[in-house]
Amino acid sequence: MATVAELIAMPHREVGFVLFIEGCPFAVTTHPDLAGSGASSWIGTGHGARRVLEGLSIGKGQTVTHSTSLESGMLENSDGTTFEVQDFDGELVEFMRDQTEAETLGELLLPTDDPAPATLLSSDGQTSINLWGRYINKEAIGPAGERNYYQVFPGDPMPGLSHAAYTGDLQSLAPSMVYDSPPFLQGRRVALWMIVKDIASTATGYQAWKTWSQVAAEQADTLVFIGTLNQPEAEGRTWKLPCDGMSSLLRKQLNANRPDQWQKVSATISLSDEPGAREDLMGLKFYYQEGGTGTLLLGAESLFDETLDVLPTTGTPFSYRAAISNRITTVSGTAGVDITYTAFYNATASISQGYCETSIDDAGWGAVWILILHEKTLRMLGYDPILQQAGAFESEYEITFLPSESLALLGIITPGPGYWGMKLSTAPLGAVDVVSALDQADNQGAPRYHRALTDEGVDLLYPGGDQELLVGLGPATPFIMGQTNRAPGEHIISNSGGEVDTQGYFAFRSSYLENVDAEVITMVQIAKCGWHNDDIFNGANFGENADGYRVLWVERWIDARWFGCDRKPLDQVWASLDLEYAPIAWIGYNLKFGDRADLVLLRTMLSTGTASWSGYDGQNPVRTFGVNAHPNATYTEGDDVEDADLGLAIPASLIDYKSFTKTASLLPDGGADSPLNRVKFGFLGSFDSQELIARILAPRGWGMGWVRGKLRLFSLAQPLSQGDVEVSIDPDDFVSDEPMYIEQVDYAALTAKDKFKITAGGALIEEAAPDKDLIYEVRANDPGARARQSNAELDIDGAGLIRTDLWEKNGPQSWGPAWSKLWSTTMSEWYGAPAVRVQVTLHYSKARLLGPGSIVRFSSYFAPGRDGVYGLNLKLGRVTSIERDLFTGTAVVAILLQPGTATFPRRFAPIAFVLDDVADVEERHDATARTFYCYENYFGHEGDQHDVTAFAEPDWLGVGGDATVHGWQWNGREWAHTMSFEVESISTAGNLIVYKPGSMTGTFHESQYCCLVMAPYDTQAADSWPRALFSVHTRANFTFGTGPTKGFKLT
Amino acid sequence: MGTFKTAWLIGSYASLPAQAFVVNASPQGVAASSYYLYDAVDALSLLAQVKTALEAAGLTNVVATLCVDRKVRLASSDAFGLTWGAGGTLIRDLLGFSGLGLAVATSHVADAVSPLLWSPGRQESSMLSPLGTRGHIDYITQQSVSPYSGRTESIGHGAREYQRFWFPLVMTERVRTATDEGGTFAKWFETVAVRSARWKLIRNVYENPASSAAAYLGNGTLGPYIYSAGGKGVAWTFTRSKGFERSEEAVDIDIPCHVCPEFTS
Repeated sequence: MATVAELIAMPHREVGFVLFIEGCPFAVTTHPDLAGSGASSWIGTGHGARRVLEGLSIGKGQTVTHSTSLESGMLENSDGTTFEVQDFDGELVEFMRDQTEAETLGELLLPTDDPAPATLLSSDGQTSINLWGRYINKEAIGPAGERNYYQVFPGDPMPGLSHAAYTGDLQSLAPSMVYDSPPFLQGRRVALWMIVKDIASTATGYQAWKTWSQVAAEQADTLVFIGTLNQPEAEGRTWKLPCDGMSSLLRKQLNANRPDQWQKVSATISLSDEPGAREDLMGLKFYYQEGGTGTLLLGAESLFDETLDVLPTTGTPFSYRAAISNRITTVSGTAGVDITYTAFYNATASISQGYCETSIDDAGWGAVWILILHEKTLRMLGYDPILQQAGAFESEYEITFLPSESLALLGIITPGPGYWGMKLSTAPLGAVDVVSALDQADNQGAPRYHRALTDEGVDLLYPGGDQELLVGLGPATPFIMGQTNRAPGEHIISNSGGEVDTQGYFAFRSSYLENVDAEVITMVQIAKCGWHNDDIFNGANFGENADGYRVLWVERWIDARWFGCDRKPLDQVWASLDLEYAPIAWIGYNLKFGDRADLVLLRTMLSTGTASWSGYDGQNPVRTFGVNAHPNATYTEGDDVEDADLGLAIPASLIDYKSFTKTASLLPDGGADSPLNRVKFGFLGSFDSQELIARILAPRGWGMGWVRGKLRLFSLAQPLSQGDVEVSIDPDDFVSDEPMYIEQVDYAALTAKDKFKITAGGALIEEAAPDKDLIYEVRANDPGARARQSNAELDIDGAGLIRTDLWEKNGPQSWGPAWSKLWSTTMSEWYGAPAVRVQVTLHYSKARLLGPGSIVRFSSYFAPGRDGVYGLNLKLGRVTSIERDLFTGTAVVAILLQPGTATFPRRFAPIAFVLDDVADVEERHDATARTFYCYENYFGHEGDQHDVTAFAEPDWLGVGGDATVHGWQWNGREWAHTMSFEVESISTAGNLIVYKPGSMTGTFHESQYCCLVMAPYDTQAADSWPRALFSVHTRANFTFGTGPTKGFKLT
Repeated sequence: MGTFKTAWLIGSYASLPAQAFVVNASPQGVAASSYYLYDAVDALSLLAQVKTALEAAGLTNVVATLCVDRKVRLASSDAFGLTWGAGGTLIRDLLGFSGLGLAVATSHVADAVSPLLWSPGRQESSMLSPLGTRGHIDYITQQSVSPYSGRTESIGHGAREYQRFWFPLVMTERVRTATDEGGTFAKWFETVAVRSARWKLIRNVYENPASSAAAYLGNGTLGPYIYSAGGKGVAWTFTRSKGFERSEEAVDIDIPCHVCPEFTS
């Protein structure tokens, strides 16, 4: 029985098409054998209760075009098609019915809720809505709660979708509806599968056809179209279903569920009582000082006594003032070394809401007291030790603040960092201190006030993070979901708020004064935060503490400059009266570095919201990848790791993983680690994934391709070599009804550019945007640049690239040099190269192997090239577009041919060295198994190709025949040709070559070194692939050794 | 007119709604489905369903059959009356009966020929294939050919089977009348062809307008077919037979059609 692959490779195929619609139990087909339902039908019962209906028409001229833009590198949106369906069974008209009876969900259903619960509450919380066997938005729920039933791939490989539910007043989210039958919804995925009939089968009806699972195993050939459903048209029972193509899977509004509004936040004070880092202690020192002489009379002092000078770790401004006042009263009334502060000249000291008051008798002596508090406490009471630092003492707002170092000079050692001494005295306005005030040191007996800069109770954010914030009360919070790009930090929310189990990223902003002379700016900072998730009802919220407050925990601050904000990290307490916060989406993973662009691209495409963590950030947490994890993934951060709202959920089987990382490795200045490959993408509110992808592709000269059912990444300007070739095209592959067929050639496929400009702008938070964009410009340095008289300029959107100019020192490495190198040489040469684009119609046998991005070797008889002759010979090129005719299987293919001759570049000839340091001779050469064992890469050539690979015919060549190999061995004096054989197979896994039975001639000397090379041209069989593939080299007499065949003069 | 051999074209009614009637005070009915007037498969045969309904009403030796005079006959050893009611008028019309019901009797012959049945009064001429074969198969295969070498690949999308039945010299009264009642081609065309309903051709039926004996329908069945639309859509032409152009004697009937899948029972 022929396999699907064998049937597809035959020159005649019997096919039928089946169009599946995501979340729908019905599919439509072109072939009556494939129609039906139940056990005795092609679809059978292994894919749920599906039914396949007749009525799909795939007629002449129905095409699908895939192409890659040579300017932006994006897959172009012109890849849609319209399917015509006869609604014989009335399914489509039912599909289009407006189901006004649908119910609105009030509870969240996540992809990880698998199976789905039998019921969820309605939006008013009053009704249980049955889910099993019904349809939530565009997702079908199976009869036992199976998620994402009726997918467009057999086996329903993808997880369920995320269905947000929120009915609060703080934001508006689209409702999640539950239907009895699948409703028409624009955006449902559709897939057209080509089912093949086993033409050798003697079975009849559906039994002669390969099953869906069998054809899906050859997805590259049988998944003919995948896309999304658009608004249909109908004429009677004839329906037209327009569908967008593969590119539509890359197009989605991400981060649609998080609010984009700024909300008020309240930062409660929290003082550390941890030994060695205490913030909850205070100090007082009282004395008199005589004006003019400076003579001291010392009163009492009390400094950081862990019993007496303790402040509450949290509380209201009033409670702090009360505690401080108590200590002022006690200590100032206590006898000191020389005096009792409040008795000798009847001095007073007090702290009230908004000011401190000091007075003394009118006796020529000044009263002085130093109140030492932690900066957090000071700022909460409205004092700012930086902005209020005294200058000329012209206002009551100017105060002498003594930092810890200055206090140390006075013999006062603070119990931790961040303490300030507020020196308060009766020195009148205009006097620096009581000494210089002379006889006015007593302020003539009047009270002297020192006032706070702001009201009490300002919100304080601490530079060290680890701080709880109150973000709402009761249900008054927006819908908020976390990200899974990193594990949450370890923290228990105080006051019975629960353990932090969810993490996300938030921007904070408020009015801010850098110094007294500066203008008010908007301070912006970015933080990684955690919270205890509460999704009991009405969506997802921050968890509540025992008092009903919803609490957000600032785990740590992230340098906002990574996100393009011109704000340095906090180095002091940030006090604010108008503090607001907003959740942001961060498409990345590195807290202290940029993120790799290729991995950001991969995670965005793959993520489904099913990844999770156990453990805590910073403590070696363990990640569980999502259901859509890519089997070929080599980087954990480029996989199914993110929330569903931030991922496109493109099935892993549709992504050529290796092409992404390989393409990144081609970047200048470090490959994948090049500064040009570093990005930081953050978004406030929803964003267009297509725009994100475009911003990743454009600055790096990357292109997105679609080859054999897989998305691939490639470098537009990558020089192609023979080893890259995937498919070989020659005139026998052309299709035409005209016996005299001439290929079309376009000489203007690329437009030379004279200048390239990239602009990296767009701060995450607009108010913190730098004054100017980061711009680099380079002139084209291609050979034609000097001659051109043009002004073609290519502007590139560099948003997402790191704003390295925001760091004064110790910042990330600039990507400017790498970008300049790439665009001034490689890209400008590509745009200016004498390339031609040839367009031909190809047989299905070749067309099926191709897509935009494919690398081909092309020959034709008549097309003019850039070599000065007609006819293209063995040119390398990349497919830029393909228009597939679904009815005939043929395709019109446009290929951008690389200038020059592909055989000119130097490369390694086939050569392999047989292992020599082995224990047993069979480990070098096993005569029984006809096998030579070789080194993987004996001569250290570049690339990851194994030496033995070159002894096998490349897949794309398709010539056949056997390669003849010569073995040369070192006999102690010289290398001698000792044996020959024909290759049967090779294995890169074992680095071995197996020769054909009976083909070995000569002798292999077990004790001699052995080098394997291809036999000369004349020795190879006339119709063998080595003759078709390798360049012809002659001896100095221009002949091939002793044979009569003449070669060509070497140039 | 004595007995003669003819072809019968037996049409179907797709998605017939559930039908209800009362047999001797016993409510009975036919389930909603798609039925031919008659088919060898009971699940697809409206007459077989009626027979089942009558038996369910307690009647014995029930007969629900097409007679050689083309009409439907319902009979039993037990006398029975039948009231069609509001939910049974469609099946009444399809069987060729009329009125509110049937008076109590052991045998009831329809008032008219069923609109689902057309008899040309002669045997068919199958124009695209030999007699007794269903049709001619057209393969939907596309070739692609290399211009220089002639190398060819092809892709097949299945096949369609076509037929054209030609009935020359059909008596005009079997084609059109002033009222186009059941039994005329015009009525059959309106009921079956216009609706693209399936139909089958039963070969070699011995017909006798003067007899109500049960017709034997086992001499070969072709189909199912659907009348194929032409340039004017689903249409037919009243064409007097050659030599009878100035008379009302005979008409030529041409039926282009194609094979379609059978109903799933």
